[in-house]
Amino acid sequence: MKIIALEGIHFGYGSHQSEILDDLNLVINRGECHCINGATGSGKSSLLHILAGEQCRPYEGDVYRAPSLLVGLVMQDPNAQVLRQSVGAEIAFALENLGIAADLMVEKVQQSLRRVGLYTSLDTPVEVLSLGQKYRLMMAAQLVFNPSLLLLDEPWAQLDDNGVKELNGVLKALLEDGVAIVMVEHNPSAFADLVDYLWLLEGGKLRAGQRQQAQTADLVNIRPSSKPRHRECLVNIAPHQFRFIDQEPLFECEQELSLHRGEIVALVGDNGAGKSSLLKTLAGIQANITNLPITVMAKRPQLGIYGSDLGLLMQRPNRQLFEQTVLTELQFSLKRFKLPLARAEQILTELDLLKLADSSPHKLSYGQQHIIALASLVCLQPKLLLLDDPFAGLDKYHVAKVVQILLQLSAQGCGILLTSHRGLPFLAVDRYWFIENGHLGDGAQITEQANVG
Amino acid sequence: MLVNGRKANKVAVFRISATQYCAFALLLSLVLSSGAFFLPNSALGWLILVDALLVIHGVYLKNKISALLRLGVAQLALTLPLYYLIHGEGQMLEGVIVVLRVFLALLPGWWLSATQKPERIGEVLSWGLPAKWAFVIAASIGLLPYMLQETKEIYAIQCLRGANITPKALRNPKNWPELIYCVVLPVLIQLLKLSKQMAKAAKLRHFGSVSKPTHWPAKREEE
Repeated sequence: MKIIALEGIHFGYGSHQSEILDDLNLVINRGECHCINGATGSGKSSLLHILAGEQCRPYEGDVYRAPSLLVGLVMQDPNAQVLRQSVGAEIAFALENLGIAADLMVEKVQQSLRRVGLYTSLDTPVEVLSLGQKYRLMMAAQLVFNPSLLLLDEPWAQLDDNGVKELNGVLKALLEDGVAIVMVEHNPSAFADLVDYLWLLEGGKLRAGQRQQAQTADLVNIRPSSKPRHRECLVNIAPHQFRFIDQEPLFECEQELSLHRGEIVALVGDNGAGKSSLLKTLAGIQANITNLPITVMAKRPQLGIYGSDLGLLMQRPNRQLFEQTVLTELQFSLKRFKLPLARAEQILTELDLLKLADSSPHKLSYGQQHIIALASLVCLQPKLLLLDDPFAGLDKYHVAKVVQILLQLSAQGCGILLTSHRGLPFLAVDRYWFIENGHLGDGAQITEQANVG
Repeated sequence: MLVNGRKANKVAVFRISATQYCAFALLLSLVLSSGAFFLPNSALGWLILVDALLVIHGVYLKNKISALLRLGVAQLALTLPLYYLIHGEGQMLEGVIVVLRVFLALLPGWWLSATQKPERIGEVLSWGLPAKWAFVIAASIGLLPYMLQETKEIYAIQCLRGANITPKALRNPKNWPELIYCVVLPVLIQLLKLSKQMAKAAKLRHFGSVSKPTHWPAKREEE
């Protein structure tokens, strides 16, 4: 049974720019799972918002909606959708707006929580949930009003492998209940068992996509051992318990870990394992933390003592952009650290992004903003670069660009520590550090196996 | 059993609901904040005493007041030199009192947001305001901790990028525009983006569908 259909949709962001959706057609029936793949900026999210009926910009074309159609949308960043402070109140928001009596709410809310496999108290503060749990909370907040169409924006990028596995189970049950699902996803293979129709959004049109081999967390890519021990040690982490003041330990580090110049180390762990907190601690900006036996460039980490020797790229790096043009954005730090301004143009040339030099960084696509934020650190030529989930939400083209930058920096002697939910088969690293079951350690076994292999 | 039942009834008579408690807290905060501006100097001591009780209550419930205290100190550090420059040494006490009044006006707001859930405040506000206004006010209060965290992170990022906004650099007023330029501006951009996304999220969850929305029960175990 057809629940929604798009016919001849034309959509663009301005009269002077080409259309990102050009005569697009799509029909979705009850219980079907559609997956839409495509480069960043190709119009995937715009299409999702048209399906949701929430596209605020005008578009041309016809949209058929079944009279009983109810749409739920889980956006890319669950934090941007949180409207309440406790789990129960968050899920009940839609029920309140539908005028459901208070005494009927509790059962409906609990049912929704069970549907997404989130077994937590209704009074649990939303802020204590991990990103993966928040994603499922947002799904529960949609399922509580029984939508017939569920739209998901890039779930794989937000979730760790356990989260993806659990989400697969939830989506399978929903499809069996007749709910139609449309997801926008850079890695469709993660949901290959569920997807009925795989689409590639290219040139404003949907074409049948090709199924790819699944990416698994076990795939790692280790560089041949280069005996770096004689090089300068940039990060040294002695055994310790990592904890916030007055809180239980987040994880325990039982062995000494170190990162030297020219090395690339990947820190892998599930959502909420403490990866970002460790990175911020290394940069000296993590508040509310106990005194830890960690040194960075032979000093106790503290904000402002490393100058241009240390660069940190946090999640959602587009937050740091504020200048009028890409070039001035890159030159900002160069000016402050009194480094040659020519480096800004040089890095843009190397990345084939010189054409963006005069563009406003705020008008770029997510992937482009990500690269510009990274380039603003790279042109400082730091000794140590800390990157928090630098590949999240990037398409293949931009992932390749980031890999190119990192390998180039490493060759120049920069030590790089980056975090991820899973293995990085597309980037050759020297070592993996894992945070598993509350323990931080060197994945030496994996390194040896990969080298032998 | 019968005696226990009577006792339970007696207790029930004096128990107020979470919504009534929130209404009382909201009213008290309004009165105390207004008092900070309208009371004569001679009555400020009493107001400090009452506000001190709010601080004890808030801290007892494990809420942090350090950010508000820092704000007060920063305001004092900014206001006193200006008073000295404009009015001279004789008016310095007046400057301290002005800062104290502003601090006392903000303190009940801290206590209210620390002890009451935004959705409960929204429910109370909806008694007298349109549901949409009540939601916007409640959502704004709920957004404050997130935006504070966001501001701290953007500040740290820009410090690492070499911006002249470290506490030491900010002693020089020449660097103040840089704080606005590379921290306040990105925070405002984030706030605009977030409010747009939140509005969309609320609309997709049927916000505005009925004129009188119901409310998530605060004390479910009683039912």
